[in-house]
Amino acid sequence: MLLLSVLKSRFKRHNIYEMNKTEEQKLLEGARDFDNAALAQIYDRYSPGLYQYAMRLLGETQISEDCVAETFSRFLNALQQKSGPREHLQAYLYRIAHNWITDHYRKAPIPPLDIDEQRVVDPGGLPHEELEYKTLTQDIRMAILQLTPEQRQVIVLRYLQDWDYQEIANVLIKTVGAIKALQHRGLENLKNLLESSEINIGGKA
Amino acid sequence: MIDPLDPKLAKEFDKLRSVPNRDDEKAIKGRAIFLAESHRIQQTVSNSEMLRHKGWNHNKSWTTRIFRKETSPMFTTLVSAFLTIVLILGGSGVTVAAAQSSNSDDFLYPLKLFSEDIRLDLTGPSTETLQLEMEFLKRRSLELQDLVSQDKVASTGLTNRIQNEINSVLQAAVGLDLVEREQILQQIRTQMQLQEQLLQKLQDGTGATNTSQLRTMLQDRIRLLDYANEDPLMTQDQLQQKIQDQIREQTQLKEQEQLQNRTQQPSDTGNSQPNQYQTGQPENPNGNGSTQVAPDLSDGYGYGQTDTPGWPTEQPNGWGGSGKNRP
Repeated sequence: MLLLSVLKSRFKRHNIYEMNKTEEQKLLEGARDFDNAALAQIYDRYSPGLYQYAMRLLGETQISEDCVAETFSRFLNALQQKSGPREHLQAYLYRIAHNWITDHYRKAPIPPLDIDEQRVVDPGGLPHEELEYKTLTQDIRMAILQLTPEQRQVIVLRYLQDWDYQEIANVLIKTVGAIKALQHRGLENLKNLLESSEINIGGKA
Repeated sequence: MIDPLDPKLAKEFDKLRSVPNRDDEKAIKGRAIFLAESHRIQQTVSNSEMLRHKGWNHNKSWTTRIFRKETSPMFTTLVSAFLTIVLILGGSGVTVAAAQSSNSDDFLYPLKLFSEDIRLDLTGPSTETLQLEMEFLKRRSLELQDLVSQDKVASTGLTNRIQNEINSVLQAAVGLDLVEREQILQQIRTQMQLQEQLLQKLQDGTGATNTSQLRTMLQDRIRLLDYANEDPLMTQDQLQQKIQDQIREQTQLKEQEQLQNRTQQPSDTGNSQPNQYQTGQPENPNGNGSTQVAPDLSDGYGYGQTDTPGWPTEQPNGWGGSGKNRP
């Protein structure tokens, strides 16, 4: 019975994946012809997820909006140069966003994981909800940012965006096995980072 | 299906999952910017890159890049100039090469002589010029030989050419050192003798007498060389002086004949009496045209001949004779 439900679940996910893939391909063809309807549909379909993805890693709405805007702008430039994606549009957009975030933190290096000090920093001027989110997620976000870019991408897409391995593999242009390995190492590192931060907090407390 | 996760990690991830709602205004603004940018690109760029001729030939093979349908004006000009130069130089080169084997009665013969003049002008040192003149002198001998074999009359151009070449080569040879001079003078004498014999055959075969003046000149030069060879006391300057005297005498003779022709023309009925150099008909009653003034040898050297037709055996200045008058 359990096996049957698992098979049904996998079959359903596979159908959704194939349907999405077909729709995505049609949208991509329209985008290559600079069809406004197709482009608008692409934005409506992917920008919310990209915003969430950016927000989880960046923690600030304005920077996340900048990330989304820059991601779609680069997509348009690629279409203009006839070098845009031929398939896997979603993976392509998330790859751009991830690279933008990586560049963002490269320009403004991630501070060492000292939760106590980070909490002292005044976020200043942020809306209450955003401030609460940023404060609440400070520990895990800082820990995730300490991971390697690939581990970080796998962990976020897998556990926060709920993507399957194949979709993540399309983003990183790797095999599913490589994605699982990255996931395993990323979780281990993340666990260690969080445990060490707890020790620091406990020591200071 | 998400893999089982450590409870602590799952708890932390749940915090991140609850992302604050996106500001609708910012979302709409971002969407509008995106569509406006795509609209701008759509306006400035056509759908097909092929239609814009932008990098359309990058995927073409090398043959289509070289052999294009549309060539640039500069390319066409350069190709035209190149082909013109090739045709002029290559074509003229072929023609000149063909003219080298032409005979004196061929239409390419003037080109042959012209090319010889050019070669002489371009030749630097005098020794090389002399060798070249000797080569051309041998060519004249061969041309005369061809005329003899074909029973054709030698043209005035050919006879004049031979006279000029002999004068030139003699003057050049006299300036050489003693050993070289004797060798080259001997070669010149051989050629002159050959030419004189050929002219004799030509005259006998065709009956034309237009070469008689050239024959006389050749005989004079041969006698002069023989005399110089027999007289070891004759200095280089003396031999040069005698050659120059003979040349001057020859020039005066021509001028006199031309003057006589001009004075006779008014009494002529039309062109019944053409110039001697055109027809070769001597105006002198003796038939050899030797109306020339005897050489003026102020130094008293004289040599004569008795077997040359038309040549006075006793020159007024004592130049002629049998050679017994030589000091």
